[in-house]
Amino acid sequence: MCRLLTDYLLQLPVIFNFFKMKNIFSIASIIVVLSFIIVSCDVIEPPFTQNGSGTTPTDTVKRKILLEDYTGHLCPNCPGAAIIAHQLMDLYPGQITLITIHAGYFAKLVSPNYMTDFKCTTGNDLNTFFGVDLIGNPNGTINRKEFNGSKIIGPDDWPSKISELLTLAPEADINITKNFNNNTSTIELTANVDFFNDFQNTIMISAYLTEDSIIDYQKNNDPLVGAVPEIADYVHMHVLRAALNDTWGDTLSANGAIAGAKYSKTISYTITNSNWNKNQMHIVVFIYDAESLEVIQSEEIKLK
Amino acid sequence: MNKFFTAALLIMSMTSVAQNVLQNAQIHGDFQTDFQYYMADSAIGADTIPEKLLSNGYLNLMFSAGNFSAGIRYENYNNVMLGFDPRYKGSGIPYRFASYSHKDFDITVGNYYEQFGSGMLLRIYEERSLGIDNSLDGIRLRFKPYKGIYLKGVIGQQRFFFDKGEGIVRGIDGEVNLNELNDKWSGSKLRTTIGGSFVSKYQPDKNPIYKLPENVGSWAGRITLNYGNWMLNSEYAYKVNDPSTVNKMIYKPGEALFASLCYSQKGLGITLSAKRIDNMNFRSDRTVTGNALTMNYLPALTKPHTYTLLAFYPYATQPNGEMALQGQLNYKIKKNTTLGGKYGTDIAFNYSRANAIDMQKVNDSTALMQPGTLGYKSDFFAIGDELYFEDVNIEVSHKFNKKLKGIFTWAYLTYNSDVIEGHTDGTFYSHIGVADITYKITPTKSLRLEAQHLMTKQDKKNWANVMLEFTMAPKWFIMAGDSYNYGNPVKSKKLHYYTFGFGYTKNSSRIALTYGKQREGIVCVGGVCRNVPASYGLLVTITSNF
Amino acid sequence: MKSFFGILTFFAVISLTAQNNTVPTVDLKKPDGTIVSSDSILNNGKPIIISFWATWCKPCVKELTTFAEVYEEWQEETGVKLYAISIDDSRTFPNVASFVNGRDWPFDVLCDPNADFKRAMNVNLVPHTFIIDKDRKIVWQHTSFTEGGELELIDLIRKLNSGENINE
Repeated sequence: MCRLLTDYLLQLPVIFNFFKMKNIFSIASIIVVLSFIIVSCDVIEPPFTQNGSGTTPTDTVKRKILLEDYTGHLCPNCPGAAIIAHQLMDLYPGQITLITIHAGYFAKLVSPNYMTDFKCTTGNDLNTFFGVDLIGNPNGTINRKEFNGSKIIGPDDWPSKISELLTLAPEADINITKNFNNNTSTIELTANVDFFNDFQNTIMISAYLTEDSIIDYQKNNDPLVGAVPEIADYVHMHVLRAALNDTWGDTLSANGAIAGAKYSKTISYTITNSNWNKNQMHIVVFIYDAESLEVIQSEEIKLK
Repeated sequence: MNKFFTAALLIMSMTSVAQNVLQNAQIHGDFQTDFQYYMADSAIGADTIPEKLLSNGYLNLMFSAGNFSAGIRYENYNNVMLGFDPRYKGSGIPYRFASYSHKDFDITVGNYYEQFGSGMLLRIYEERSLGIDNSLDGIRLRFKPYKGIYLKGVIGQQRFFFDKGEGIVRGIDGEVNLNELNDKWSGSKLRTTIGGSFVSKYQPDKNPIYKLPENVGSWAGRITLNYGNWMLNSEYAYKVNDPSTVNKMIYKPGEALFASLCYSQKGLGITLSAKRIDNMNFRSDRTVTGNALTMNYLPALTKPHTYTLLAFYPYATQPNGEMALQGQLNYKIKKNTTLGGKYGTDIAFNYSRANAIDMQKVNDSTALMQPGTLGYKSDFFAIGDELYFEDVNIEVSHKFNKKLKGIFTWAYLTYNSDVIEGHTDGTFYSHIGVADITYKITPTKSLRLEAQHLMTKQDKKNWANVMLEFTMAPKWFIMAGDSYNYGNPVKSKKLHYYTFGFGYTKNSSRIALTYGKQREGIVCVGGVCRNVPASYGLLVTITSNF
Repeated sequence: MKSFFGILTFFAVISLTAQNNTVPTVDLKKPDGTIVSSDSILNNGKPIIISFWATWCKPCVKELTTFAEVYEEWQEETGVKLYAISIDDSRTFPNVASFVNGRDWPFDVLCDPNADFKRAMNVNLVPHTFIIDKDRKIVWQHTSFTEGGELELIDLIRKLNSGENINE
């Protein structure tokens, strides 16, 4: 064996002879290879994080992105997604409207610790329509907008997609006036929408009710996020509870909108579920294009 | 595309080359369509499907004339069947190519499949039953400048369902067969092939939280040595920082090493393989999970099982890190000996084991796998403590007489469901036995019986499976089978998953009908888990080619 | 959709002039890793059987074991040569040489680890077997294997040798 190897080594000059034969082509290929190697590598030096170009809150009208995070209390990878959503809310204060939708396989009830039902009709409708849990959890939609042929975006892609969208100017402004009767648990809200751009298609308006700070079990497999395999006192935030005007909302303007025009809609709803803590609830209002389903602007206010 | 083909047709028919080309012209293709009619069954957890009927359809058409070839594939999902990614929706032509080859050079434009070495850096392939198709849409060049030297260059974007991924993939690969290269070595007993590849991907960084590398480069070197009855195969790959969803956004470079040693002679074959994977998830979009946009292939060092109960606990390589080894023995006990019997006996033994890699903190102030840091340190040859998977199995094939033959398998599987499925159910230990006996009633009619048993104290406990199949060569088969979870501690969950099947094959066309129930499963790939629901219904599969 | 029908028309026109397809030229590997072209699948003008298989495909292994038992007789009678093309990918490819030698199979085995030849021959399911005539044209093919299927195969080879047309 050793003798054969030394034979090989002695024959190396033959290989170099070959390169002399196909001179031009071999030089060209070497240049191509080297240029590949030089340009095709980015090695990042620490620190790896940056205090990205976030925004500071001012009084001017800002574009607000509707982020819907599809999750479930049996989904061990989902707490990580909630962390990314809150990182974005800190980076872009007031510009992210977050709704957490519990639906699908990982939201089902399993005794003894997972018997709380976080699902609701609207959440189930949205999950079935967008087919999220068949793709997997955690996953989300950003303004229900399509990117590269898909509306379902993974949590690690939320920062890039959201920061790109936030560079665009706002297209509408939603001002909400609401009246909440504590005794009858009735909500009456009026949304006044100012448009800054023209829109051709029908504009729809939806209002959803969410609840914060629900302490309950959550499965988890990331020790950096919390206890493994489950967090007994996980704080569930922005849980979608109901739609005030059905899953797909009402028509705000059937013939589109003109820049500078004002449209308004009044929505009423009575809360019948006494288990919900009304002190911890928010109302999320958003308008979207009926054809593409893409959300134009959103707004959030406290219930009480 | 329509204009392109009409123009090509017109030009070809007008030139004198036309007659020649048309004479050499060949058309061939294949199609496959699967459709399933679903019914609800609350006991097994099969929900009602609103569409009731789901189907996947594929049609491949290829045209070749002399040095030129072209082809397309039409796919239809109205809607896609359960268990497949629902982003396969609607229909379209996701695959089309044209290629020209001349002597030692060939160029392909459009969609193509390619593999560099064993695929540790780049494997673009199609595995329809798993819903994997990451074809590159771009240009591929292959060139043999001299005998024994094979060069390839690729560039393109990967398929993402009916669209394209954001990332751009480019790569070059070179392989040299030293025995072909130099005539003096062509008769040598030692045969050597060496190869190297370089692959990189580009994806823009718009992330406000992390400073992400837009170009991620990787390189690999490989060698294959053959000497008499021995063969040694080895490949090493290195990838620079590639923070992604799968590796939790850490900046550690990735490494992989694979080596296998094989000895084979008449009647005996032994293979020993070992592998180290450290942070080698490689996709053209860093945020994607599931079966989409993968660029490389990190196969498990395990024996693929096709018997139902043996396939209950399959292992998938953990791209974030694993140390694995496998030993396989294939031996034929000669005929006309006591153990061999009249026809000889084939024995196949396999041992596979996968452990975690050893992970240490980078420094005291950084947690293990903390996003936005180097993540961890790992000694190249250290083996982690956690056992992911172990499979000891032996398979004996024996022909008793002209009419009766059987394959008998026994396996002991250790399956870490926490790591493999992302569950929190612990590790499952199971003993599995399978007997597969075929009895030839006449030279063309035969009966096959499969009896399987799975014994475990974890998960859903014990299962038994029985299947009977009657075939009439060369066209017909009919089968009936049942998997029974008799050991389930919950009485209402002691369920039967029965199936009945029937098929007809005529030359290259085949139609098969299966009616019955299928268990649910959970598929976890790269940080996202997806539930494949249980189903109950009628499945029809038709394939043909022409 | 319009372009799809345009393409179909194009193919239809071409098919008017097409005859039996020849075996395409694709790079394959030997179990020891050497690259060979499918053009090397030859048998001096005698018939060839090409059979696609994989180490994990039980019916394929049954089919090839059956062929192995009768191969000598078949070769003596008809001069046919069998090429078994393994579609084992890099997961099971290192084991192919040991598998084939361990079972002592007497015919040629070639490997197609990224399914290039499988795609070019329009194979969907394995096992899939082809009969190639002396002009390297595909004259017959069959998918799946049933016990006794080898009898039909040798019958067709005999017919091919005696000059009969076995096209379906």
